[in-house]
Amino acid sequence: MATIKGDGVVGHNGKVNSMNLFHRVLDFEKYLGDPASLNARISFIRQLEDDENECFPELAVSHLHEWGLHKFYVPETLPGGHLSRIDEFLLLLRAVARRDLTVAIGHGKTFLGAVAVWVGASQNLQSRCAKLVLDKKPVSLGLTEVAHGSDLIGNACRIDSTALGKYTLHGEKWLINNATRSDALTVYANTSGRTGANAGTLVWVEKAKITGDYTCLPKELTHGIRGADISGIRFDGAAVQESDFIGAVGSGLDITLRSLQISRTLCCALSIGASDTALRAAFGFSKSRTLYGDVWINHPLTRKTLVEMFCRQLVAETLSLSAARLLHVIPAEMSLVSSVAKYLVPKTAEGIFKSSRALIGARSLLRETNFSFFQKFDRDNKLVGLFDGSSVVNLQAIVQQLRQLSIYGLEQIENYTNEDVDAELDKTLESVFCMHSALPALDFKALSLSNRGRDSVLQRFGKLLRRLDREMQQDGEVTALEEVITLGKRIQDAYVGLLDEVVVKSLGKDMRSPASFDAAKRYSDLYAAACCYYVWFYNRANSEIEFDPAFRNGQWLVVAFGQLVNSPPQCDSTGVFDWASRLYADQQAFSILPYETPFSPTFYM
Amino acid sequence: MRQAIKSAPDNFSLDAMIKWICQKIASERLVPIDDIDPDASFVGMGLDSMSAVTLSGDLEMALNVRLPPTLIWDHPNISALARYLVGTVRQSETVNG
Amino acid sequence: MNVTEKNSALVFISPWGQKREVVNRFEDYLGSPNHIDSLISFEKSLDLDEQQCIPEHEYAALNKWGLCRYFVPERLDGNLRDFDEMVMLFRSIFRRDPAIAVGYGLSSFMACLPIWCSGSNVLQQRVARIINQGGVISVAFHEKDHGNDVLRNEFTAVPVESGFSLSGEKWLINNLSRAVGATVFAKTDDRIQGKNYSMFFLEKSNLDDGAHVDRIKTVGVRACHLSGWAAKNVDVSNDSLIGELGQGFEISGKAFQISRTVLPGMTVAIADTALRMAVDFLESRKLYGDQAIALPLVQRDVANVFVDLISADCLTLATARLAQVAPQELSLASAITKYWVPTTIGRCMDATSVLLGARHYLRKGKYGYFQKLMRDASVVSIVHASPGVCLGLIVQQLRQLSMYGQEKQAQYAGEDVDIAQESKLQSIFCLSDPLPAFDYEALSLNNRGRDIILQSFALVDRRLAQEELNQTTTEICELNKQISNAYDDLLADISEKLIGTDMRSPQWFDAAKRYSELYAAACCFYTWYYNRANGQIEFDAAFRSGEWLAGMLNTILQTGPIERDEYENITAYVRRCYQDNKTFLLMPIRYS
Repeated sequence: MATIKGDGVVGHNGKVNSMNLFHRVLDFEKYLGDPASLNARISFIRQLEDDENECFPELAVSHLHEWGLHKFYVPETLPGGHLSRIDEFLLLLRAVARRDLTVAIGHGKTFLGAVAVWVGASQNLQSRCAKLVLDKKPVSLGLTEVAHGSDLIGNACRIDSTALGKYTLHGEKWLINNATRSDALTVYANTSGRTGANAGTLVWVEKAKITGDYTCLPKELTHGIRGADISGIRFDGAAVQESDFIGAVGSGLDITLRSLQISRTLCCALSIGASDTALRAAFGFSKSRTLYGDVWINHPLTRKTLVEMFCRQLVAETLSLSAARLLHVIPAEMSLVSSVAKYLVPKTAEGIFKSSRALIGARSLLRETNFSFFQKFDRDNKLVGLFDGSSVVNLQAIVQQLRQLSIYGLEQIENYTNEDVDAELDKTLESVFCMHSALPALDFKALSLSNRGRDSVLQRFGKLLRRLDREMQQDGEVTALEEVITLGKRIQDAYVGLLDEVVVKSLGKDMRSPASFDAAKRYSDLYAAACCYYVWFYNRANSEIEFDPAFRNGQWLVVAFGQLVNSPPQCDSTGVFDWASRLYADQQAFSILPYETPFSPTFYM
Repeated sequence: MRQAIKSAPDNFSLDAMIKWICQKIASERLVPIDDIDPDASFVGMGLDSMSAVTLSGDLEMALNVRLPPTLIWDHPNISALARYLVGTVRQSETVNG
Repeated sequence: MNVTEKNSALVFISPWGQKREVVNRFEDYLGSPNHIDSLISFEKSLDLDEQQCIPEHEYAALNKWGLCRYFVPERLDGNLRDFDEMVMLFRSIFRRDPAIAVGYGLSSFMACLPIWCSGSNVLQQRVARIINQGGVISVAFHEKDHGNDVLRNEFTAVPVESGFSLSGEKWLINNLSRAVGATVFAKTDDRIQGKNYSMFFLEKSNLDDGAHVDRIKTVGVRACHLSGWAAKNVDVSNDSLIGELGQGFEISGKAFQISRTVLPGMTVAIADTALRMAVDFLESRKLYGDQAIALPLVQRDVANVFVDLISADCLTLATARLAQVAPQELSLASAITKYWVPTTIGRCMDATSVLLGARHYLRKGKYGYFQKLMRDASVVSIVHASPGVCLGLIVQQLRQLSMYGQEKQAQYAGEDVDIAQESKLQSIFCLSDPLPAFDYEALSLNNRGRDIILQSFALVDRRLAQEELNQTTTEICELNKQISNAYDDLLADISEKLIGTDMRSPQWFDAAKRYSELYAAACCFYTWYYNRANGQIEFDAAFRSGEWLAGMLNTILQTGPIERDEYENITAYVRRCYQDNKTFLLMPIRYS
């Protein structure tokens, strides 16, 4: 890895190359330090104290400001903003999440509060919002209500018109992260006199301007993120102006759903950060403990469990990175991938926690010993799957598109059998999946509520396999490749089979049928597998980034996806296990990308 | 493999019994029979509580006698175990015969 | 058998009916957990959890009722006769507050078991008196560095002139601060593995000679007091030894089979409450214009939880009864129960947490209790041998089970009856049948290849196939065929592929999982088969018809998701139980 600049922010302009990406992430990781150390800017022990005492992690959050993480919550197109690449942002948030989820959620919420402004608000409102955020003021997002959860259309909050251009806001938002601490909120409310999908409007509310017309609700006591400010706010006729509206009256649902495509993608950072630590804890435990006459990690079942966890981590990370890069390259397809990622990544992380619990045993449930941080992560992590759209909400978003995706998908597959190359699409895919290729600037306007049947990832997967096939015929000496291709073909078969099934059984038509949900789950799994194949394909010969040899030979794909198509891995997973062990020992992230993340392995001894 | 477990020793002399147990343990642990020392303790060979119960079960099936699951705790090496087994088998033959 | 006078006519009450009476009385005594005035209430329990306080009042009330006597066998003046009764009684506590159940006395019960199995008469009498009077004793078994690897424990008891001198440190001991005695596992010999540990019963004065280590904070069961105990040359007398010198591992290996069987059976009730809370929420929740519980997806999830719950109920009642009918087979049954039930209950907790959505994350409000149940369940699942350890215990018996099992399969292929086996099955599974008294001396460290549950499956299945079949029973016959085939395949895999490979390998553990699943499936089948026409038990028609059984078998065998009419019927049943405030489990207890 190249040298690291100390000032934390490396100059950049428009298109940022991958080395810069690493620089900022590396710098941030280094700045945050080893969480096992009490002197680190975010330390396990101090965060545990905050958790036990239900205190907001003020100190840790102030360190994030000091480094300037909040600047990444503002697009670089606005003065002072640093947000240019979502994949970089994802890795920055992940760096915080690896150390503490309460801190990540407590601080990162500001982006969730502001993102709708970047997506849909006027220039003027954007400047106002940017000023607050850059001034380190927390911004929050008020969507959910007591009786309606994520059902936005059923919302009871309302905006009444009082005079021309003047309005009042009424109603209550509940279970809002930072509702009390924030200086401003983006609030979803129904415009009076309207109902249905076009009734909602997002409004920007600065507390300083509505003094007395609002009440913050008491902090809710929660299972995890005990230190976070999970509360609510009630508006009693707070005065708002037309200039506070984000977008046009009635555009609330549209802007919210498009903003969620960005925030859902970024939520993945929380999951893959937490699961990185869970996996690290499992490694640490397994290496430090002797059971039944042998170090725990030498037991075959322990090794198998660790390999599986590691592969799941790689899949979750790859899917997250793919979604982040797709946002730049094919924003029109974000409605699908953001839901796939927000459904699958938190679920995968929860699975990793579950396996870690099984390996660590009693210590995973104690608020004592060197592993006490684990139970806190475990509790905190359960929240990630809930907010910003639960798994059901995200699956539903996929179900809604299933029929179109299937019909269009089947057409595409048929066409591709006749036509061999589509250079432009290949180039597009390469810029999504080749990790060092430059990314086009963000264009939030290009986000769309539906993919309209387009899915460049799965619909082109058969083509990728054909390229691999051809390659193997040219040079038959690569051994891992054959298994990779065989498995890839089974994935493609499963994909085509699924599309047929959706069409034949009219799945997705009845949006409430369990069978449609099962199909959406299946679609998500296959989508994730395809992303991993592309990432491997476009980076296995990458000389710009020092990928691990075990990444390049592709065996991890076989280990990761054998189960998915019911063919348990025939291959030896030793190479993958050694890769994970290297990452652990060298204090590298459990990631396809080689980057350091200070975390002393001796902590567990 | 199943046959290997169920096959009894050639005869119930002490030597045959020792050789037979050595063979069983050698094939189980995938090592040559010469590496098995009949006087080394089972613990030294790395047999833990789990293999103890399994081994006594195997012997029980092969010899068709009832053996305590704690067998190898009571007879901590192959020679001692063989002596015990020869005694038990002969006794059961007398009873049955 | 009891005959009581009722309405001046003689009414016969089956053992099942009697047990139900006892549970009903206990439920009445405890009152509704929804009322703060009841002996145990959700609200008070949540407070105890938050404050990490010991529930002294609750414990006293349970003692007053005499619950402690259920830890003590009848022969020692206690009330413990049938384990299924004990399981069902303790479910009444677990459904209210698992922390109270664990803290009240399950560790006392565990501590007593080695004594009931192997202690001298004098010791048995003494400990029985303590427990019957409401005294608490602890188990000091685990050590910080060795976890479940007890044969590497370092706590020693060195023989001295008048007894033993104890040194070392024990960890994760429940209730030590309240205990008047403790059962301790200690190394008494350095030479021979397996024979070098012994068990001791220590008096309070002995415990006070050592040092109590600080309270250990846990994620769940926060109202329990866990701590450590450190001894440095603590002298104890010779009569504190339980059983023979060097028998500690064997004694505990046998005695804990009982606790590993009954504990999971009790914890099933946690999921009963979890499902009740979820249904309560879904009944009132509106989603996208509909009542949430009317949504097909939600109904399928509800049905899945119910099916898991009722399967766990079948397995745990079966193994609790098997303990008395075939105690020599409890080594396998207990390991399967302690592996399969926590795994299944864990799945129920995950599924109900999803149904509750964000509510499951809150510690206050109407559903604030749920997160406590979730935390408690996670701790209870690994208390006293984790699922992984239990799989290991199954692995070590698989070779014998496969070989003996194959012999049996061959034998039954030729003959079609085995009266002795079938009458044993009948006593295990016919829930209204009386049970023989438990024989504490019949326990064994392994099953010697015997497994009445799976090895007799072909016999009973054949009987069903000879009946006149309807649509449901035809489906059951087909599912049974899958069980039989899977069982044959598994035995063949073990004897042909696995024997001779490293027994620590994942393949062996997978085989143990498969074995457990088939075992559970067979238990569900027998529970239905032997009770479907049982007039002494008030089972729902859907149970009798076999509809639920088909759902259970499909779930365990993973043959596919529950079909629409099935999940609709089950949800309707679940809603009825919820409205009638009746348990979802087999014994139809109406909650106060």
